[in-house]
Amino acid sequence: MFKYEKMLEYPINIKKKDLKMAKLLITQFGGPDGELSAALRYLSQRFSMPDEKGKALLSDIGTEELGHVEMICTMVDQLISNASIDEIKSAGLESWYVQHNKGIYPMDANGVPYTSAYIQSSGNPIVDLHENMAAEEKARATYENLMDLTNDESLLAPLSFLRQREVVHYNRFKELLNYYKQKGY
Amino acid sequence: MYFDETNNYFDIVNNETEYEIDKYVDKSNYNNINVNIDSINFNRDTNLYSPLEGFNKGNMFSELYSKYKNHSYKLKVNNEKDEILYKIQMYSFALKDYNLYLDIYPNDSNILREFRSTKQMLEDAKKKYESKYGPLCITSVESTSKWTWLDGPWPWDKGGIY
Repeated sequence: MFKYEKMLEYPINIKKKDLKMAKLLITQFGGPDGELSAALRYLSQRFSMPDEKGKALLSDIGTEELGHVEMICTMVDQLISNASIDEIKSAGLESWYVQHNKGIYPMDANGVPYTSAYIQSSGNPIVDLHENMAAEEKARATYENLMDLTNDESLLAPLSFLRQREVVHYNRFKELLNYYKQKGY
Repeated sequence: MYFDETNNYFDIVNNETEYEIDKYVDKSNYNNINVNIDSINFNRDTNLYSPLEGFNKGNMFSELYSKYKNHSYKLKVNNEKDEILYKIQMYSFALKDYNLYLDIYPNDSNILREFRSTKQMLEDAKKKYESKYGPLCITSVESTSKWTWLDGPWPWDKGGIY
């Protein structure tokens, strides 16, 4: 059961619109290493975790990832929502506009729609935890690339926060993997 | 140091022992030793950031913290509403990070104590916020004359709860 809380995990108040950043940032919603991938990955894999620690950790990180999806969508929406047609044209977002207007759609930075082919749920906890560690590292690198591409502090602060969460999640998955290896799973 | 800042690189191999599960699992064996438990410093608090610092960093556990280049940010509070809301987000965040830790180390009494005291602070802040600015979740709706869930902006609305 999931319950909604009417707040973000971390505050977001983007100071100025930036359509190019919106187009890049959308990949952390619907791209291969994005937050939607993360949420679906862990919330699917948790059913094959062998003990209470794994069931708990994947449920709890998966739930946090849903909050990150909301943060990314909020950032993209605030970056794009007040744009004029001229601004959309000059930033090269006509292809976004023609299909989605200013709607938030799960796609990558090139407009490729989200696919669950981005994730794996192997039924094997050792395999899945390796996948998850790799996924957290790929997401971390993506946040770093995004941070390299903007100077807006109101955008950098939540990006920096989200990047740090990847670091923490990576370590928790690694600790669980080491524990499972010792247990002989 | 887990994260090599000079080379901007995660040093996994050299620090493998630092994260050996033994280190934590063995700790419970100390309970079998016949000494005054309270006199032993199991305190991990030196590794914990304050809720404010942890929230700004996105990480409550200093030994896991890894900075990217010189990126470091502090939230600024503009008004009273923000201040209470940020507190709620801050305590919620601390609880979330303790939560993930406790999933792996469920017997760490220091973190369990932190969890309980932080939970109390979160509940106090939530009560204060909701009585002034409206419900943050469905079960906080108190009114019998109006569906107050609709009141106030949504989290993605600018100038609202952001």
